[in-house]
Amino acid sequence: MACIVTDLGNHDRNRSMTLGQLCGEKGRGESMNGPDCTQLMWSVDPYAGYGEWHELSKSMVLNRSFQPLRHVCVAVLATYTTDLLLPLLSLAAARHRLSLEVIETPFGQLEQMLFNDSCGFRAMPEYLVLAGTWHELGLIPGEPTDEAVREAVKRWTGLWDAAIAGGARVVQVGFVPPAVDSFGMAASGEDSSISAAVARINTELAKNAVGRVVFADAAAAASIVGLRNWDSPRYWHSARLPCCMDALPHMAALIAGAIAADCGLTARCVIVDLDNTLWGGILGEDGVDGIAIGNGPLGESFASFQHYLRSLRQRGIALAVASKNDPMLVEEVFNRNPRMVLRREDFACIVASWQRKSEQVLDISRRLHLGLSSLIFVDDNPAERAEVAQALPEVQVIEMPRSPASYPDALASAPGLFYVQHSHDDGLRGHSYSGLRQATELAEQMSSRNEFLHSLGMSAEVRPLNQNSLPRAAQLIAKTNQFNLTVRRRTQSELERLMHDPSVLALTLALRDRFADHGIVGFCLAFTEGTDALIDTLLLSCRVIGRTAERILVAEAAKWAAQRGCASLLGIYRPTDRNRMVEGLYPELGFTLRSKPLDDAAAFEFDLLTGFPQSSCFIQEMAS
Amino acid sequence: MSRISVLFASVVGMAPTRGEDTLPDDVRGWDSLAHIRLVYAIEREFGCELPEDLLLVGKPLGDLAAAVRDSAPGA
Repeated sequence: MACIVTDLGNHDRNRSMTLGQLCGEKGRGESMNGPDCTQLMWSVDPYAGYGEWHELSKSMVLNRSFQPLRHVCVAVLATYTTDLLLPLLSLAAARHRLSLEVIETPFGQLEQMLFNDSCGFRAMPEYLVLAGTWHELGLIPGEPTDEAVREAVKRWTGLWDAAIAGGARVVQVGFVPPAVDSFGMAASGEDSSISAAVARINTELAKNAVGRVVFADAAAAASIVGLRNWDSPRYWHSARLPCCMDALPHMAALIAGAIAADCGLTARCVIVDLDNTLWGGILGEDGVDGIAIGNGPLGESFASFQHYLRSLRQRGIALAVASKNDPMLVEEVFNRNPRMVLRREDFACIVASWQRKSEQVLDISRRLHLGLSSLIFVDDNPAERAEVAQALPEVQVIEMPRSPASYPDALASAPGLFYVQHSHDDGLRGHSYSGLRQATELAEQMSSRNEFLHSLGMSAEVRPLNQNSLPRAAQLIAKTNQFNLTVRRRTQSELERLMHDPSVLALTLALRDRFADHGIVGFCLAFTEGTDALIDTLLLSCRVIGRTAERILVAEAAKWAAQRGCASLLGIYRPTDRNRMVEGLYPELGFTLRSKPLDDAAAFEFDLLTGFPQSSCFIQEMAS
Repeated sequence: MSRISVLFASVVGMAPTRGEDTLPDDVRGWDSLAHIRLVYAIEREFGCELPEDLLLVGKPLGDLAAAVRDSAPGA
């Protein structure tokens, strides 16, 4: 097929780094070293092709400067050869600041690995990727496919259950239809076509996946690249490769993106510039009515970009503005220009000032309580991008194309915006960040912290973990780094087991204030051990730190422990390099440090015979 | 060294010991996986498509070179 000799697609890929650029003036072995490594990783584009990716993944092995935010162990169980794919996975993961330990598994041994107690994994990896091709689905063109569809769904969901029972989080890679279908362009409307059957299997798997496993839609990835550029029968027949070589980086990007997104390594906020980024022209020179937005080809391009940004917000990603502009004029645009797609209230935070961009970004990070690594910076001006990238290397700076018509594509390709299905609380998040900004502004006006907390009018709903809240709880456990006392990454299947254990207390906490409904933002797991009750997990989403919500969970745990006849409640603090902020939490709540640590963690004790730790006096508890 | 030999060396990790007569048994590392990468590299470099029987490891390097000469005007 043509794909073997040509580059995939004809996109405007000028943001893609070449191997030479990545290697700089040093030798290949030393490439991607140095402080700029993180920024460079983001620019590695799947469209660069297998050759580039293979070289880069080799040099990654030697790279010492890459600083991942998370490390996970993963195995790929596939009905095809993964030997060429696996080395690319680590490179694809590095784009998300995720480090992968990839376990090699024998080809085609899915059931053998998962259903056999004796010869499977020595230790179940955290993530198990399951993948197949349409060839083994038993589809015969022109013949009824219902049975094959049922069988496929049964087979793969059965594998999920086995993997979940073993303690792994599953990523199911969807099936890619063949490029050639006997029903041609009408295949999707013909129930008995292979393409239609593959589509039905994907739909069924995706439906079943909700709240259970992560579904990575390979058919969607392949359709963006183009099926003729993806499919390669000769490599299938000769080497059992699922796609052509140049599609392998896309496959790797899909799998790594799904894992990274599931680990929470996604952007929480997109920060945009205004002039020539959100609209055409310079506001200070062209005036509120003179900027190009919504009118003419140029204005339409900017309007499309605004539509794209608004869809990100609806997805739960906050928007913010960092612009060197007169704040009064900016407000006027939002108030007066009717062609603006984005409204003032779509932004969690607007910084229009004459500070350096990096300072504006820091300001936004502080106001929204978001870490720098969760921010994406979008600016048409290369000098501003360079300034931010230099000053704040953790911020993901997007290389923008010349033409504003290509802005959505450039931003959508950012690793940080990789999307996988989520539990429903995510939808609230974009709104919650707006509420957070308002709350921060209020805090600045308030003289005392207590007054501020009272004025928020907070209410909390504490409930035992249930089937509905399970995915969100698992997500919080996977994502929370700062307000997390023990950083024990329990998997969803572990939680599900614990949920039914009568000696275990598992509570979720949902919080709302007068600005926003934050959804489920807290989780606590405790169990009894003789006359002690032990808080195994206590965490809060960073959005609600400082609101005293943890007190409610600790007080609930104390009540529960006392009801079970426990004499003391133990709190554990296991230090990591990111949870320093909660080091003093238990002493603050009246716990005393036990002289003997528990394993390698500090243990704090509260004597339940003398009373309970005080709950929050700022948050009203709603009856559940 | 011919262009094919250069590609061979970069993919397999060592130069073909017996030129175009080199067989997979002569070079440790020229396994089926390396062979797929070699075919990919050759097809990219010369803008051609090698015949199916050369996709499997086994034939001497000269067969690959000959196929390139047959199919690609630029080789």
